[in-house]
Amino acid sequence: MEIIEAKALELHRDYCDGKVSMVEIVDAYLKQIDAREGEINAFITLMAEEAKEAAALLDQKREKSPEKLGALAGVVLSIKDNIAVKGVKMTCASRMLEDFVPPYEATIIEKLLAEDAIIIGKVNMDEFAMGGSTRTSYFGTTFNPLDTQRVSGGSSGGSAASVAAHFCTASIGTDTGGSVRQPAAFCGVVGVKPTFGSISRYGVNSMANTFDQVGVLAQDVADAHYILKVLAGADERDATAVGNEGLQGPLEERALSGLKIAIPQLFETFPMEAAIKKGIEEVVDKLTAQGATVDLVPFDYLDKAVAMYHIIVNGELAPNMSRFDGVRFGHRSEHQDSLEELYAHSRAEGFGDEVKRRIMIGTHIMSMDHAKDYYVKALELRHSLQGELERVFEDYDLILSPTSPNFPFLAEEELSPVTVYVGDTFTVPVNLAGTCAISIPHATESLPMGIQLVGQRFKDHELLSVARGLEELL
Amino acid sequence: MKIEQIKHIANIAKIHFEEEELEKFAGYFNETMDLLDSLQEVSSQEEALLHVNELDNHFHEDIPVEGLSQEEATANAPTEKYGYIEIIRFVD
Repeated sequence: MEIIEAKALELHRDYCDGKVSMVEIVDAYLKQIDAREGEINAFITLMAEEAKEAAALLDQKREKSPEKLGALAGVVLSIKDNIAVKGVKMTCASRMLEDFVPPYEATIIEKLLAEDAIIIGKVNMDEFAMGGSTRTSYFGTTFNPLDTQRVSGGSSGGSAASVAAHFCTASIGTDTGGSVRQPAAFCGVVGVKPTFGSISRYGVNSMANTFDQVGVLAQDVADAHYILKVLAGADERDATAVGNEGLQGPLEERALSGLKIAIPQLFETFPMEAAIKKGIEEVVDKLTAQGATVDLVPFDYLDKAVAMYHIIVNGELAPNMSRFDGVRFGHRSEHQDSLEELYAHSRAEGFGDEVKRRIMIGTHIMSMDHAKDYYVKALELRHSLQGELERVFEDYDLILSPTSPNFPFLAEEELSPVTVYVGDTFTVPVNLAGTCAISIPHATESLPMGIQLVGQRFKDHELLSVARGLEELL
Repeated sequence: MKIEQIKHIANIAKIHFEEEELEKFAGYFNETMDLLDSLQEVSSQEEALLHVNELDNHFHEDIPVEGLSQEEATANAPTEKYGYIEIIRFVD
Protein backbone atom coordinates (compact mmCIF):
# COMPACT_ATOMS: atom_id res chain seq x y z
CA MET A 1 0.00 0.00 0.00
CA GLU A 2 1.14 3.52 -0.65
CA ILE A 3 2.36 5.35 2.44
CA ILE A 4 -0.03 8.25 2.05
CA GLU A 5 -3.06 5.96 2.01
CA ALA A 6 -2.06 4.09 5.17
CA LYS A 7 -4.00 4.60 8.40
CA ALA A 8 -2.39 5.94 11.57
CA LEU A 9 -2.40 2.53 13.26
CA GLU A 10 -0.77 0.89 10.22
CA LEU A 11 1.89 3.59 9.91
CA HIS A 12 2.67 3.39 13.61
CA ARG A 13 3.04 -0.39 13.45
CA ASP A 14 5.13 -0.36 10.27
CA TYR A 15 7.33 2.43 11.59
CA CYS A 16 7.96 0.66 14.89
CA ASP A 17 8.69 -2.57 12.98
CA GLY A 18 11.33 -0.76 10.94
CA LYS A 19 9.54 -1.26 7.64
CA VAL A 20 9.58 2.43 6.75
CA SER A 21 11.50 5.49 7.95
CA MET A 22 9.92 8.70 9.20
CA VAL A 23 11.83 10.65 6.57
CA GLU A 24 10.23 8.45 3.88
CA ILE A 25 6.76 8.99 5.36
CA VAL A 26 7.15 12.77 5.53
CA ASP A 27 8.60 12.89 2.02
CA ALA A 28 5.65 10.90 0.67
CA TYR A 29 3.18 13.41 2.14
CA LEU A 30 5.21 16.40 0.93
CA LYS A 31 5.21 14.94 -2.56
CA GLN A 32 1.43 14.60 -2.45
CA ILE A 33 1.10 18.17 -1.12
CA ASP A 34 3.29 19.37 -3.95
CA ALA A 35 1.03 17.60 -6.45
CA ARG A 36 -2.37 18.75 -5.16
CA GLU A 37 -2.11 21.73 -2.80
CA GLY A 38 -2.33 24.17 -5.70
CA GLU A 39 -5.93 23.15 -6.43
CA ILE A 40 -6.98 22.61 -2.79
CA ASN A 41 -5.40 25.34 -0.62
CA ALA A 42 -5.53 23.39 2.63
CA PHE A 43 -2.52 24.94 4.33
CA ILE A 44 -1.98 28.39 5.74
CA THR A 45 1.53 27.51 6.93
CA LEU A 46 3.22 24.45 5.51
CA MET A 47 5.94 23.25 7.90
CA ALA A 48 7.94 21.20 5.39
CA GLU A 49 11.39 21.92 6.81
CA GLU A 50 10.32 21.50 10.44
CA ALA A 51 8.61 18.21 9.58
CA LYS A 52 11.69 16.90 7.75
CA GLU A 53 13.95 17.83 10.68
CA ALA A 54 11.61 16.24 13.21
CA ALA A 55 11.41 13.12 11.04
CA ALA A 56 15.21 12.78 10.89
CA LEU A 57 15.41 13.16 14.67
CA LEU A 58 12.73 10.52 15.19
CA ASP A 59 14.60 8.11 12.92
CA GLN A 60 17.69 8.64 15.11
CA LYS A 61 15.60 7.95 18.21
CA ARG A 62 14.31 4.71 16.68
CA GLU A 63 17.89 3.72 15.97
CA LYS A 64 19.13 4.41 19.49
CA SER A 65 16.18 3.58 21.73
CA PRO A 66 13.28 1.98 19.86
CA GLU A 67 11.62 1.07 23.17
CA LYS A 68 11.05 4.77 23.84
CA LEU A 69 9.02 5.46 20.68
CA GLY A 70 5.72 7.22 21.44
CA ALA A 71 2.21 6.11 20.56
CA LEU A 72 2.14 8.40 17.51
CA ALA A 73 5.56 7.59 16.05
CA GLY A 74 4.98 7.19 12.32
CA VAL A 75 1.93 9.49 12.30
CA VAL A 76 1.85 12.85 10.50
CA LEU A 77 -0.74 15.43 11.55
CA SER A 78 -2.04 18.76 10.33
CA ILE A 79 -3.25 21.24 12.93
CA LYS A 80 -6.09 23.72 12.57
CA ASP A 81 -4.71 27.25 12.63
CA ASN A 82 -6.48 28.25 15.85
CA ILE A 83 -4.29 25.91 17.92
CA ALA A 84 -0.96 27.26 19.18
CA VAL A 85 2.21 25.57 18.01
CA LYS A 86 5.07 27.46 19.64
CA GLY A 87 7.11 29.54 17.23
CA VAL A 88 4.82 28.86 14.24
CA LYS A 89 2.37 31.45 12.90
CA MET A 90 -1.19 31.05 14.22
CA THR A 91 -3.50 33.21 12.13
CA CYS A 92 -6.99 31.86 12.95
CA ALA A 93 -7.40 32.50 9.19
CA SER A 94 -7.73 36.23 9.93
CA ARG A 95 -5.94 39.33 8.75
CA MET A 96 -6.07 40.31 12.43
CA LEU A 97 -3.51 37.62 13.30
CA GLU A 98 -1.71 37.47 9.96
CA ASP A 99 1.70 37.75 11.65
CA PHE A 100 0.95 36.38 15.11
CA VAL A 101 3.48 33.85 16.42
CA PRO A 102 2.43 32.20 19.70
CA PRO A 103 5.17 32.19 22.33
CA TYR A 104 3.79 29.03 23.93
CA GLU A 105 2.54 25.57 23.07
CA ALA A 106 -1.07 24.40 23.41
CA THR A 107 -1.39 21.53 25.90
CA ILE A 108 -2.57 19.19 23.15
CA ILE A 109 0.46 20.01 21.00
CA GLU A 110 2.73 19.16 23.95
CA LYS A 111 0.91 15.84 24.25
CA LEU A 112 1.11 15.04 20.53
CA LEU A 113 4.82 15.89 20.36
CA ALA A 114 5.53 13.88 23.51
CA GLU A 115 4.06 10.87 21.67
CA ASP A 116 6.31 11.55 18.66
CA ALA A 117 3.69 12.84 16.21
CA ILE A 118 5.09 14.90 13.34
CA ILE A 119 3.30 18.16 12.51
CA ILE A 120 3.28 18.94 8.80
CA GLY A 121 1.50 22.28 8.88
CA LYS A 122 -1.21 24.63 10.07
CA VAL A 123 -4.40 24.29 8.08
CA ASN A 124 -7.07 26.64 6.84
CA MET A 125 -10.39 27.30 8.54
CA ASP A 126 -13.18 29.83 8.56
CA GLU A 127 -12.00 33.09 10.11
CA PHE A 128 -11.87 32.57 13.89
CA ALA A 129 -13.85 29.33 13.26
CA MET A 130 -16.96 31.33 12.31
CA GLY A 131 -18.45 29.66 9.25
CA GLY A 132 -19.08 26.33 7.59
CA SER A 133 -17.17 26.49 4.31
CA THR A 134 -13.72 28.16 4.82
CA ARG A 135 -15.04 30.92 2.56
CA THR A 136 -14.68 33.39 5.42
CA SER A 137 -10.91 32.69 5.62
CA TYR A 138 -8.62 35.63 4.88
CA PHE A 139 -6.42 33.10 3.06
CA GLY A 140 -9.06 31.96 0.57
CA THR A 141 -11.32 28.94 0.32
CA THR A 142 -10.12 25.39 0.82
CA PHE A 143 -11.54 23.36 -2.04
CA ASN A 144 -12.93 19.87 -1.63
CA PRO A 145 -10.43 17.20 -2.72
CA LEU A 146 -13.35 15.03 -3.94
CA ASP A 147 -14.63 17.80 -6.24
CA THR A 148 -12.51 20.92 -6.39
CA GLN A 149 -15.41 23.06 -7.63
CA ARG A 150 -16.95 22.62 -4.18
CA VAL A 151 -16.14 23.79 -0.67
CA SER A 152 -14.50 21.54 1.88
CA GLY A 153 -16.91 22.63 4.62
CA GLY A 154 -15.96 24.28 7.84
CA SER A 155 -14.85 25.60 9.97
CA SER A 156 -12.17 22.86 10.09
CA GLY A 157 -12.20 22.66 6.27
CA GLY A 158 -8.41 22.62 5.93
CA SER A 159 -8.27 19.75 8.39
CA ALA A 160 -10.84 17.68 6.49
CA ALA A 161 -9.33 18.45 3.09
CA SER A 162 -5.81 17.63 4.27
CA VAL A 163 -6.96 14.18 5.42
CA ALA A 164 -9.08 13.52 2.32
CA ALA A 165 -6.26 14.60 -0.02
CA HIS A 166 -3.75 12.41 1.88
CA PHE A 167 -1.59 15.38 2.90
CA CYS A 168 -1.33 13.87 6.39
CA THR A 169 -2.49 10.83 8.36
CA ALA A 170 -5.04 12.71 10.45
CA SER A 171 -5.82 16.24 11.59
CA ILE A 172 -6.71 18.10 14.76
CA GLY A 173 -9.66 20.49 14.48
CA THR A 174 -12.10 22.22 16.79
CA ASP A 175 -15.89 21.90 16.94
CA THR A 176 -18.13 24.65 18.32
CA GLY A 177 -21.32 23.79 16.39
CA GLY A 178 -20.29 21.09 13.93
CA SER A 179 -16.92 22.40 12.76
CA VAL A 180 -15.25 18.99 12.85
CA ARG A 181 -18.21 16.84 11.80
CA GLN A 182 -19.58 18.88 8.89
CA PRO A 183 -16.27 19.25 6.97
CA ALA A 184 -15.56 15.56 7.68
CA ALA A 185 -18.94 14.78 6.08
CA PHE A 186 -18.23 17.06 3.11
CA CYS A 187 -14.80 15.50 2.45
CA GLY A 188 -15.72 11.86 3.10
CA VAL A 189 -13.64 11.33 6.25
CA VAL A 190 -14.40 10.54 9.91
CA GLY A 191 -14.79 13.44 12.35
CA VAL A 192 -15.25 13.11 16.10
CA LYS A 193 -16.32 15.75 18.58
CA PRO A 194 -15.79 14.23 22.02
CA THR A 195 -17.78 15.15 25.11
CA PHE A 196 -17.29 18.76 26.21
CA GLY A 197 -14.44 18.90 28.73
CA SER A 198 -12.62 15.79 27.46
CA ILE A 199 -9.67 17.69 26.00
CA SER A 200 -7.73 20.73 27.19
CA ARG A 201 -8.27 23.96 25.30
CA TYR A 202 -5.21 25.71 26.71
CA GLY A 203 -3.60 27.31 23.68
CA VAL A 204 -6.73 26.96 21.54
CA ASN A 205 -8.23 30.29 20.51
CA SER A 206 -11.51 30.74 22.38
CA MET A 207 -14.59 31.28 20.28
CA ALA A 208 -17.45 30.26 22.58
CA ASN A 209 -16.19 28.92 25.87
CA THR A 210 -19.07 26.62 26.78
CA PHE A 211 -19.15 25.07 23.28
CA ASP A 212 -15.61 24.78 21.89
CA GLN A 213 -14.07 21.34 21.94
CA VAL A 214 -11.05 19.89 20.19
CA GLY A 215 -11.81 17.02 17.79
CA VAL A 216 -10.08 14.64 15.42
CA LEU A 217 -10.50 14.08 11.68
CA ALA A 218 -9.15 10.77 10.41
CA GLN A 219 -9.58 8.09 7.78
CA ASP A 220 -11.47 5.75 10.06
CA VAL A 221 -12.97 5.40 13.52
CA ALA A 222 -10.09 3.39 14.99
CA ASP A 223 -7.55 6.07 13.97
CA ALA A 224 -9.69 8.85 15.42
CA HIS A 225 -10.06 6.96 18.68
CA TYR A 226 -6.32 6.24 18.83
CA ILE A 227 -5.48 9.94 18.55
CA LEU A 228 -8.26 11.06 20.91
CA LYS A 229 -6.75 8.81 23.59
CA VAL A 230 -3.57 10.88 23.42
CA LEU A 231 -5.44 14.20 23.51
CA ALA A 232 -7.92 13.53 26.32
CA GLY A 233 -7.16 14.42 29.91
CA ALA A 234 -7.67 17.04 32.59
CA ASP A 235 -5.42 20.09 32.53
CA GLU A 236 -4.74 22.48 35.38
CA ARG A 237 -4.36 25.24 32.77
CA ASP A 238 -7.97 24.76 31.59
CA ALA A 239 -10.52 24.53 34.40
CA THR A 240 -13.19 23.11 32.06
CA ALA A 241 -10.96 20.22 30.94
CA VAL A 242 -11.99 17.40 33.25
CA GLY A 243 -10.66 14.53 31.12
CA ASN A 244 -12.58 11.52 29.91
CA GLU A 245 -11.77 8.08 31.25
CA GLY A 246 -14.27 6.68 28.76
CA LEU A 247 -11.88 7.42 25.90
CA GLN A 248 -8.95 5.50 27.34
CA GLY A 249 -9.88 1.83 26.89
CA PRO A 250 -9.60 -0.10 23.62
CA LEU A 251 -12.53 -0.07 21.20
CA GLU A 252 -14.86 -3.01 21.79
CA GLU A 253 -16.45 -5.35 19.31
CA ARG A 254 -19.97 -4.05 19.72
CA ALA A 255 -22.76 -6.07 18.13
CA LEU A 256 -25.31 -3.88 16.37
CA SER A 257 -28.12 -6.29 17.22
CA GLY A 258 -30.14 -5.15 20.20
CA LEU A 259 -29.03 -1.53 19.81
CA LYS A 260 -31.76 1.06 20.25
CA ILE A 261 -31.34 4.06 18.01
CA ALA A 262 -33.45 7.21 17.90
CA ILE A 263 -33.91 9.38 14.82
CA PRO A 264 -35.32 12.85 15.51
CA GLN A 265 -38.79 13.15 14.02
CA LEU A 266 -37.64 16.46 12.55
CA PHE A 267 -35.72 14.36 10.00
CA GLU A 268 -39.01 13.61 8.23
CA THR A 269 -39.97 17.22 7.61
CA PHE A 270 -36.64 19.05 7.54
CA PRO A 271 -35.71 20.24 4.03
CA MET A 272 -32.76 18.23 2.79
CA GLU A 273 -31.31 16.85 -0.40
CA ALA A 274 -33.11 13.71 -1.56
CA ALA A 275 -29.93 11.63 -1.74
CA ILE A 276 -29.12 12.50 1.89
CA LYS A 277 -32.55 11.36 3.00
CA LYS A 278 -32.18 8.19 0.94
CA GLY A 279 -28.74 7.58 2.46
CA ILE A 280 -30.17 7.68 5.99
CA GLU A 281 -32.96 5.30 4.98
CA GLU A 282 -30.36 2.86 3.60
CA VAL A 283 -28.42 3.00 6.85
CA VAL A 284 -31.61 2.41 8.85
CA ASP A 285 -32.39 -0.65 6.69
CA LYS A 286 -28.91 -2.03 7.25
CA LEU A 287 -29.11 -1.44 10.99
CA THR A 288 -32.50 -3.09 11.35
CA ALA A 289 -31.30 -6.03 9.24
CA GLN A 290 -28.57 -6.45 11.87
CA GLY A 291 -31.16 -6.57 14.63
CA ALA A 292 -31.01 -2.96 15.82
CA THR A 293 -34.21 -1.06 16.62
CA VAL A 294 -34.56 2.34 14.98
CA ASP A 295 -37.42 4.64 16.01
CA LEU A 296 -38.50 8.13 15.02
CA VAL A 297 -38.60 10.13 18.24
CA PRO A 298 -40.19 13.56 18.76
CA PHE A 299 -38.02 16.36 20.18
CA ASP A 300 -39.58 19.62 21.35
CA TYR A 301 -36.47 21.77 21.23
CA LEU A 302 -34.42 20.52 18.29
CA ASP A 303 -35.85 22.94 15.74
CA LYS A 304 -35.03 25.80 18.12
CA ALA A 305 -31.41 24.73 18.53
CA VAL A 306 -29.96 26.94 15.79
CA ALA A 307 -31.55 30.06 17.29
CA MET A 308 -30.39 29.11 20.80
CA TYR A 309 -26.94 28.39 19.46
CA HIS A 310 -26.52 31.72 17.72
CA ILE A 311 -27.70 33.68 20.73
CA ILE A 312 -25.41 31.97 23.22
CA VAL A 313 -22.41 31.53 20.93
CA ASN A 314 -22.49 35.11 19.68
CA GLY A 315 -23.03 36.27 23.25
CA GLU A 316 -19.90 34.40 24.30
CA LEU A 317 -17.76 35.27 21.32
CA ALA A 318 -18.38 39.02 21.25
CA PRO A 319 -16.54 39.62 24.56
CA ASN A 320 -13.87 37.06 23.59
CA MET A 321 -13.16 39.03 20.45
CA SER A 322 -12.67 42.26 22.41
CA ARG A 323 -9.09 41.17 23.08
CA PHE A 324 -8.29 42.12 19.50
CA ASP A 325 -7.80 45.84 19.90
CA GLY A 326 -4.70 46.57 17.82
CA VAL A 327 -2.62 47.33 20.89
CA ARG A 328 -0.83 44.28 22.31
CA PHE A 329 -0.89 41.97 19.30
CA GLY A 330 -2.64 41.64 15.98
CA HIS A 331 -3.38 44.10 13.21
CA ARG A 332 -3.05 47.81 13.99
CA SER A 333 -4.62 50.41 11.72
CA GLU A 334 -2.84 53.51 10.46
CA HIS A 335 -5.87 55.52 11.64
CA GLN A 336 -4.47 56.71 14.93
CA ASP A 337 -6.02 60.10 15.65
CA SER A 338 -7.37 58.80 18.92
CA LEU A 339 -7.25 55.57 20.87
CA GLU A 340 -10.93 55.06 20.08
CA GLU A 341 -10.19 55.34 16.35
CA LEU A 342 -7.28 53.01 16.62
CA TYR A 343 -9.50 50.32 18.14
CA ALA A 344 -12.40 50.78 15.73
CA HIS A 345 -10.29 50.92 12.58
CA SER A 346 -7.94 48.10 13.60
CA ARG A 347 -10.99 45.88 14.14
CA ALA A 348 -12.68 47.08 10.94
CA GLU A 349 -9.58 46.28 8.88
CA GLY A 350 -8.57 43.13 10.77
CA PHE A 351 -11.89 41.27 10.81
CA GLY A 352 -13.86 39.92 7.88
CA ASP A 353 -17.62 40.34 7.38
CA GLU A 354 -18.82 37.19 9.14
CA VAL A 355 -16.74 37.91 12.25
CA LYS A 356 -18.09 41.48 12.35
CA ARG A 357 -21.65 40.23 11.92
CA ARG A 358 -21.33 37.83 14.83
CA ILE A 359 -19.66 40.36 17.11
CA MET A 360 -22.41 42.86 16.30
CA ILE A 361 -25.21 40.37 16.98
CA GLY A 362 -23.49 39.24 20.19
CA THR A 363 -23.01 42.82 21.36
CA HIS A 364 -26.65 43.62 20.65
CA ILE A 365 -28.19 40.65 22.43
CA MET A 366 -25.87 40.96 25.44
CA SER A 367 -26.75 44.61 25.99
CA MET A 368 -28.56 45.53 29.18
CA ASP A 369 -31.90 45.94 27.44
CA HIS A 370 -31.84 42.60 25.61
CA ALA A 371 -29.81 40.11 27.66
CA LYS A 372 -32.82 38.80 29.55
CA ASP A 373 -35.01 38.33 26.47
CA TYR A 374 -32.34 36.64 24.39
CA TYR A 375 -29.33 35.37 26.29
CA VAL A 376 -30.99 34.23 29.52
CA LYS A 377 -33.93 32.78 27.62
CA ALA A 378 -31.61 30.80 25.37
CA LEU A 379 -29.71 29.46 28.40
CA GLU A 380 -33.00 28.29 29.91
CA LEU A 381 -33.94 26.53 26.68
CA ARG A 382 -30.45 25.07 26.46
CA HIS A 383 -31.23 23.40 29.80
CA SER A 384 -34.51 22.04 28.40
CA LEU A 385 -32.71 20.69 25.32
CA GLN A 386 -30.05 18.98 27.43
CA GLY A 387 -32.79 17.43 29.61
CA GLU A 388 -34.65 16.29 26.54
CA LEU A 389 -31.57 14.55 25.15
CA GLU A 390 -30.93 12.89 28.51
CA ARG A 391 -34.48 11.57 28.58
CA VAL A 392 -34.07 10.13 25.07
CA PHE A 393 -30.89 8.41 26.24
CA GLU A 394 -32.86 6.68 29.00
CA ASP A 395 -34.56 4.66 26.26
CA TYR A 396 -32.05 4.75 23.41
CA ASP A 397 -28.33 4.08 23.04
CA LEU A 398 -27.65 6.60 20.30
CA ILE A 399 -29.24 9.27 18.14
CA LEU A 400 -28.81 9.02 14.37
CA SER A 401 -29.18 11.78 11.76
CA PRO A 402 -27.44 13.15 8.71
CA THR A 403 -24.46 15.29 9.73
CA SER A 404 -25.50 17.92 7.20
CA PRO A 405 -28.75 18.09 5.24
CA ASN A 406 -26.74 19.11 2.17
CA PHE A 407 -23.82 18.00 0.07
CA PRO A 408 -20.91 20.44 -0.18
CA PHE A 409 -22.05 23.43 -2.19
CA LEU A 410 -20.25 25.03 -5.11
CA ALA A 411 -17.50 27.40 -4.02
CA GLU A 412 -19.11 30.21 -6.06
CA GLU A 413 -22.68 29.62 -4.86
CA GLU A 414 -24.18 32.57 -2.98
CA LEU A 415 -26.00 31.67 0.21
CA SER A 416 -27.38 34.00 2.87
CA PRO A 417 -25.73 33.66 6.30
CA VAL A 418 -28.99 32.44 7.82
CA THR A 419 -29.34 29.69 5.17
CA VAL A 420 -25.87 28.52 6.15
CA TYR A 421 -26.73 28.63 9.88
CA VAL A 422 -29.83 26.46 9.42
CA GLY A 423 -27.66 23.80 7.74
CA ASP A 424 -26.20 23.16 11.21
CA THR A 425 -29.53 21.99 12.65
CA PHE A 426 -28.33 18.44 13.35
CA THR A 427 -24.88 19.33 14.66
CA VAL A 428 -25.43 22.27 17.04
CA PRO A 429 -27.62 20.39 19.57
CA VAL A 430 -24.58 18.24 20.39
CA ASN A 431 -22.58 21.30 21.45
CA LEU A 432 -25.53 22.88 23.24
CA ALA A 433 -25.88 19.73 25.36
CA GLY A 434 -22.15 19.01 25.64
CA THR A 435 -22.46 15.42 24.38
CA CYS A 436 -20.23 13.49 22.00
CA ALA A 437 -20.84 12.78 18.31
CA ILE A 438 -19.17 11.34 15.26
CA SER A 439 -19.65 11.75 11.53
CA ILE A 440 -18.82 8.72 9.43
CA PRO A 441 -18.86 8.76 5.63
CA HIS A 442 -21.44 6.88 3.61
CA ALA A 443 -21.21 6.58 -0.17
CA THR A 444 -24.07 7.90 -2.30
CA GLU A 445 -24.41 8.08 -6.07
CA SER A 446 -22.56 11.39 -6.10
CA LEU A 447 -20.38 12.61 -3.22
CA PRO A 448 -20.24 10.83 0.14
CA MET A 449 -22.53 12.06 2.91
CA GLY A 450 -22.00 12.11 6.66
CA ILE A 451 -23.90 9.85 9.05
CA GLN A 452 -23.96 11.42 12.50
CA LEU A 453 -24.21 9.32 15.63
CA VAL A 454 -24.69 11.14 18.93
CA GLY A 455 -23.78 9.51 22.23
CA GLN A 456 -24.21 10.33 25.89
CA ARG A 457 -21.84 12.62 27.74
CA PHE A 458 -18.64 10.81 28.75
CA LYS A 459 -19.73 7.63 26.99
CA ASP A 460 -17.62 8.39 23.94
CA HIS A 461 -16.18 4.93 24.07
CA GLU A 462 -19.57 3.34 23.53
CA LEU A 463 -20.31 5.76 20.68
CA LEU A 464 -17.02 4.98 18.95
CA SER A 465 -17.41 1.23 19.41
CA VAL A 466 -20.82 1.31 17.70
CA ALA A 467 -19.50 3.72 15.05
CA ARG A 468 -16.75 1.25 14.18
CA GLY A 469 -19.33 -1.49 13.79
CA LEU A 470 -21.46 0.71 11.55
CA GLU A 471 -18.40 1.77 9.54
CA GLU A 472 -17.74 -1.90 8.73
CA LEU A 473 -21.36 -2.36 7.74
CA LEU A 474 -21.46 0.59 5.31
CA MET B 1 -33.39 47.66 12.81
CA LYS B 2 -32.60 51.20 11.78
CA ILE B 3 -29.21 52.40 10.63
CA GLU B 4 -28.91 54.63 13.69
CA GLN B 5 -29.37 51.63 16.00
CA ILE B 6 -26.77 49.63 14.11
CA LYS B 7 -24.36 52.55 14.39
CA HIS B 8 -24.93 52.55 18.12
CA ILE B 9 -24.09 48.82 18.37
CA ALA B 10 -21.01 49.30 16.16
CA ASN B 11 -19.90 52.02 18.54
CA ILE B 12 -20.20 49.67 21.54
CA ALA B 13 -18.51 46.84 19.61
CA LYS B 14 -15.75 49.26 18.57
CA ILE B 15 -15.89 48.44 14.88
CA HIS B 16 -15.76 51.20 12.30
CA PHE B 17 -18.21 50.89 9.38
CA GLU B 18 -18.47 52.95 6.23
CA GLU B 19 -21.99 54.18 5.44
CA GLU B 20 -22.51 51.78 2.50
CA GLU B 21 -21.41 48.82 4.64
CA LEU B 22 -24.08 49.72 7.18
CA GLU B 23 -26.80 49.39 4.53
CA LYS B 24 -25.71 45.82 3.83
CA PHE B 25 -25.51 45.05 7.51
CA ALA B 26 -29.05 46.21 8.17
CA GLY B 27 -30.43 43.49 5.87
CA TYR B 28 -28.34 40.81 7.51
CA PHE B 29 -29.17 42.06 10.97
CA ASN B 30 -32.89 41.87 10.41
CA GLU B 31 -32.70 38.40 8.85
CA THR B 32 -30.66 37.07 11.76
CA MET B 33 -32.75 38.77 14.43
CA ASP B 34 -35.86 37.17 12.88
CA LEU B 35 -34.22 33.79 13.41
CA LEU B 36 -33.25 34.64 16.99
CA ASP B 37 -36.68 36.14 17.74
CA SER B 38 -38.27 32.78 16.95
CA LEU B 39 -37.34 31.74 20.50
CA GLN B 40 -39.64 34.35 21.97
CA GLU B 41 -42.66 32.13 21.23
CA VAL B 42 -41.20 29.22 23.19
CA SER B 43 -41.82 29.15 26.92
CA SER B 44 -39.00 27.95 29.14
CA GLN B 45 -39.50 25.83 32.23
CA GLU B 46 -35.92 25.42 33.33
CA GLU B 47 -33.30 27.55 34.99
CA ALA B 48 -30.50 28.97 32.88
CA LEU B 49 -27.81 26.40 32.10
CA LEU B 50 -24.42 28.04 32.48
CA HIS B 51 -22.21 24.95 32.19
CA VAL B 52 -23.02 21.65 30.50
CA ASN B 53 -20.88 19.71 33.01
CA GLU B 54 -20.86 19.89 36.79
CA LEU B 55 -17.60 21.64 37.56
CA ASP B 56 -15.74 21.51 40.86
CA ASN B 57 -13.28 24.15 41.87
CA HIS B 58 -9.71 22.92 42.02
CA PHE B 59 -7.37 25.07 44.05
CA HIS B 60 -3.63 25.03 44.10
CA GLU B 61 -1.01 26.82 46.15
CA ASP B 62 -0.27 30.29 44.89
CA ILE B 63 3.34 29.69 43.92
CA PRO B 64 4.97 32.13 41.50
CA VAL B 65 6.23 30.50 38.32
CA GLU B 66 8.25 31.81 35.43
CA GLY B 67 6.05 33.49 32.80
CA LEU B 68 6.89 34.91 29.39
CA SER B 69 10.07 36.98 29.13
CA GLN B 70 9.68 40.67 28.33
CA GLU B 71 10.95 39.96 24.84
CA GLU B 72 8.41 37.16 24.28
CA ALA B 73 5.58 39.26 25.70
CA THR B 74 6.21 42.15 23.34
CA ALA B 75 7.19 40.08 20.29
CA ASN B 76 3.69 40.21 18.79
CA ALA B 77 2.99 43.87 19.57
CA PRO B 78 2.69 46.01 16.42
CA THR B 79 5.29 48.39 17.88
CA GLU B 80 7.56 48.05 20.87
CA LYS B 81 9.63 50.67 22.68
CA TYR B 82 12.13 50.20 25.53
CA GLY B 83 10.81 46.67 26.12
CA TYR B 84 7.20 47.87 26.43
CA ILE B 85 4.21 47.69 24.12
CA GLU B 86 4.06 51.07 22.44
CA ILE B 87 0.75 52.74 21.76
CA ILE B 88 -0.23 56.16 20.54
CA ARG B 89 -0.24 59.18 22.79
CA PHE B 90 -3.79 59.55 24.09
CA VAL B 91 -3.51 62.15 26.84
CA ASP B 92 -2.37 65.71 26.32
